[in-house]
Amino acid sequence: MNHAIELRDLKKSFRTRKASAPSFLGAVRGLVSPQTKLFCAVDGISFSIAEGERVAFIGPNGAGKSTTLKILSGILHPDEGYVRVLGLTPADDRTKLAYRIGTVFGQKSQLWQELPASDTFRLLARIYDLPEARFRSRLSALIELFELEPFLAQPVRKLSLGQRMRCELACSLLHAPKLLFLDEPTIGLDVTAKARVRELVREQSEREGTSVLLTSHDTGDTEQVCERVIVINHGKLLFDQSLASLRARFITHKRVTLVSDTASLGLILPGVRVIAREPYKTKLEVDIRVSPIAKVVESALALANLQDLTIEDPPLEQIVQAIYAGTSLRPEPEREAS
Amino acid sequence: MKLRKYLAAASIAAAEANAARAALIGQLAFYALVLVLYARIWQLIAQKGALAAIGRGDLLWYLAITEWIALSVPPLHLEIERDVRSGNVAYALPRPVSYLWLRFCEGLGAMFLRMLLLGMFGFGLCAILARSAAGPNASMWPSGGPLALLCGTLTAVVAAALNLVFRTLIGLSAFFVQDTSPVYWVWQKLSFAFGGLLFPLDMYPDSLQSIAAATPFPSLLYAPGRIAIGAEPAFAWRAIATLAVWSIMSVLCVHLAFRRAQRALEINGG
Repeated sequence: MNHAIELRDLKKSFRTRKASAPSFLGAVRGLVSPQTKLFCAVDGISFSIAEGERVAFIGPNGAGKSTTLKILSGILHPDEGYVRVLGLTPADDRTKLAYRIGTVFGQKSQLWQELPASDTFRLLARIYDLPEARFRSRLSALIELFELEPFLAQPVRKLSLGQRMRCELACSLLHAPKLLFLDEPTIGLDVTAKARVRELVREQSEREGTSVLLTSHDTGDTEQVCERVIVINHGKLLFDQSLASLRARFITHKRVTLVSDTASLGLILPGVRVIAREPYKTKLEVDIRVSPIAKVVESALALANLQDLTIEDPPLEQIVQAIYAGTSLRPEPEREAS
Repeated sequence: MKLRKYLAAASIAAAEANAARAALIGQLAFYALVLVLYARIWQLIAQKGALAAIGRGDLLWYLAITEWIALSVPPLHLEIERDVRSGNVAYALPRPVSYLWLRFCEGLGAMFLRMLLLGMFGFGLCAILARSAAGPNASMWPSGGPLALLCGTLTAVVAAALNLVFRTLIGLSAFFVQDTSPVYWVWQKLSFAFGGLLFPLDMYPDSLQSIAAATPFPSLLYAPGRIAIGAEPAFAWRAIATLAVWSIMSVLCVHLAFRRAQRALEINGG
């Protein structure tokens, strides 16, 4: 299998300045002979990403995500470890690599604000040495895919955030990169725009086999774009498996909502607790290690006729928080029935 | 091929500067205000017989050139500072083009556009004010004539580019200190004082003139202004040579500073 990214035992530390004592003397001492300490941002991370794979790279703030991304894009040299991106060593082959990677940072912009996005596209075509014919065909494909035509001639500052993000994505894909780094690509967008951006990234990756490494605090991005999740914290890798494995491994509880023809369903089973009760509607938290869902449904059917049944996983956000905390997923505190 | 990238960057920056009409109008208004105000001040001073060495028309042309340079140079240091503080530099570095020279060329693009518009407006206004200052039969040109003005104008374009190099250098300080405003504040005040923004250095005391001569500031403002109003050929050649020396030195400094800035990014993590 060809790898888009290969990392082995990656380490990177930074020297940071220690805060001086909160006094005049401390401030002077800090100025004359500043004290520094070594901060390990990335501590022996290893993983690989196959060509065409879409991977979420998540972790809390300060986990080491940005540092890893900067190493992968060649901005920073690693202290130790093996790094190959699309067969190149990023820090040594930064210019070569630049032609083959694309980056989208949700909170930053590469578009010229007073000009139409088409002007930025033309500049990027020059920067990436795209021949005119290739630029035209590539741009028209992206305009069609990202539905940019209606606002292509408007100055960027007049575009909505969603429209701007679609243009940013088009900018990053103009030179047909084999690997796309996405950093919070949906930050600040409304629900519809988020869904559209996620859909477009997925479509683009499937269509051209573009590998995607996505960092985001929005678990919706992870769920709807990626097929695999890598979780890091304090510079160390905590989890690296498929999204399905993540759910299977960390979901010990499911939420079951039963709507029956009985006003009050008196279901008593080990590992099952009622978290909300309304007339004809009961919400249960089921520990699936103790009582499988099938057994719960079977028992409910024995008590009443079921008119509706919903089984929900806990939100991915809770799962991720549990991974950060190094614990298995706990159910939410019990709520009183209204 | 590389040159085309930088030309494209300069061209888009010029287009962006042209599209930002409010900023341009503000600059034109400020330029006009300065010229009109100083035309009046020189008139009042001349009425008291305090102006002898340099004529009112020449003083006005001198100011038109120095202000033209000062107003045309875009705040590139702020752009670089913004890139560093916002982390936008992470966007710009992994590209097949030098971040530093791309930014510089963008600055050049905006600078040329401003020079063109401010120059057409300011020189026109200056010609009117100079003629009215010196009387209806007087020349609208500086005492060196149109050729001196042309030479001064061309030198001013190079001086403005040198100003931009220094602003790039100030911008790069953001990699180390984040906030470039204190560095720029000191630079600007020294530049205006020792560069002779408002009066030619000939009007300064000798001691100040010799201090100024040891700095790059006269090359940035005074030299083009002095050439424009008419200077000895020896002065002009010396000024152009000095300008070239400072240009080479400052470009080298910028190059070295960028290497150190990238190293600072490596150490501090950006």
